[in-house]
Amino acid sequence: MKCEHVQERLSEFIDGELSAGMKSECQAHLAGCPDCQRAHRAFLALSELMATAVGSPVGSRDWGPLETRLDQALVSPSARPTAGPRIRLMIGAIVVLAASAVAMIATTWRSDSETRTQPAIVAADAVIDWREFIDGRSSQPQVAMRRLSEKFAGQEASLTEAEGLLGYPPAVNRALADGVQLVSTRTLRLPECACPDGGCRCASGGCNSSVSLCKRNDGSQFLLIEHCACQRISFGGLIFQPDAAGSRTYGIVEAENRLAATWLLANRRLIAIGLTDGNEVRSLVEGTVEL
Amino acid sequence: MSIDGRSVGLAAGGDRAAQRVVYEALFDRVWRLLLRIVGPTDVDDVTQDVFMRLFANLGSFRRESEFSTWVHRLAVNEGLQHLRKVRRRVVVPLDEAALPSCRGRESDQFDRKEMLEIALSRLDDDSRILLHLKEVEQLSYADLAGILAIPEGTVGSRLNRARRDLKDRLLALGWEEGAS
Repeated sequence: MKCEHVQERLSEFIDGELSAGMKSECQAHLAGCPDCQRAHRAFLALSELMATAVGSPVGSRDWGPLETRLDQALVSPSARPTAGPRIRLMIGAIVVLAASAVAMIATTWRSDSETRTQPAIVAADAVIDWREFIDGRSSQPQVAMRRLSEKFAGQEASLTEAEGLLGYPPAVNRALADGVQLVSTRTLRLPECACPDGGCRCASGGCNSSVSLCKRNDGSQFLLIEHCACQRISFGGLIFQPDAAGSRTYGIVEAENRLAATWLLANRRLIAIGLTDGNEVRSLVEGTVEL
Repeated sequence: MSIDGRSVGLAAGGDRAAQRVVYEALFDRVWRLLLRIVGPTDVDDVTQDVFMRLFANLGSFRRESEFSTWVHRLAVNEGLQHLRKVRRRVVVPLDEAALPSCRGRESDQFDRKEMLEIALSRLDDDSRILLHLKEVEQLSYADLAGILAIPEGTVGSRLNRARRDLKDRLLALGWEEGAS
């Protein structure tokens, strides 16, 4: 048996998928071939690496909050009181979605009727696409802040006022590195809070959240957005690469020579826009601690 | 992935308790697989989509294949569909220099787990999925062929290519084979 034949079958060999005869031939060749032994050892080392790292228990990282959120999201439809016979989940989901849409539209209409000064909450599609605030705004955080305020009923607030509304101190309170100043914090009213009852302080039909504009020593700025993790969002096709800071994983993407990052903190999602380098991202991710 | 047939049948009929049994039995595997396919940002949303689709289609599960194979195939298809959807839009590729951990750190200080995550994220989708299903889920070549809808005879060569690609990417990040 030649080296190329052995190495073609190396995966089948280590995975135990070869016939007994072929396995014996491979073993005989490996015993006397340093090159194939090296290739064999490399594949075994890869298997060991993947088994120890990727196969580690999911609970050892940020799995707990994630599991809770997903359990709640899945359980909540069935936990709601229902009338009539059991129906299949798909039909139930359609009904719930339809009811939610009607309720949201009604809430928005009522909100507009009662307080004409409040900008309308996006109701047609209860998913926020953060891309428009990342791609095209990353180099202009103050413009993104203004646009966010226009779209989601932004209100200037002190950190204390924001905490009163949100029910938790905004993460920006402790996350900023030395030399970075908090310029402004505004509360936002995002559409559709999908948190279970008691999971947050959001009232029906909307999600309380915040955005903070921060300034570095050199005068440049970045944004930090914080909202319920249950808020349905997308990033409009931006592909975030996984990375980790300490024990916390986050996604990172480059846009307009800046970086955007997103990560979960307890039951909230944080999104930073306009960061300059990886060290700043890591510092911010590690600095956002649960109080 | 041990779920009794009765729970599957009840879940297919809309029984909420049975659906939860199925969900809890499958969740870890589905979530880990989707993490490998779509990444951490979207994994939660896509996992929910998979379970919605799973319960909607459970009645059509014909038991011609193993239940686990059917579920894995569903998750793979949903994950790939999600990737196709997001990639149809403009993708902003991450400059390698923007990866904070890849540069400026000595290889012996580099966390191997982090290194593996980065190397895996740079593989093509098919290789990443194949390696996960083989190395993490420990599935047989017959199962892999069923899940990925490929001839069983090509699984070995595809795994060879995936493993070589992963090894090269790990070596580029400073991995030492003997220190796995």
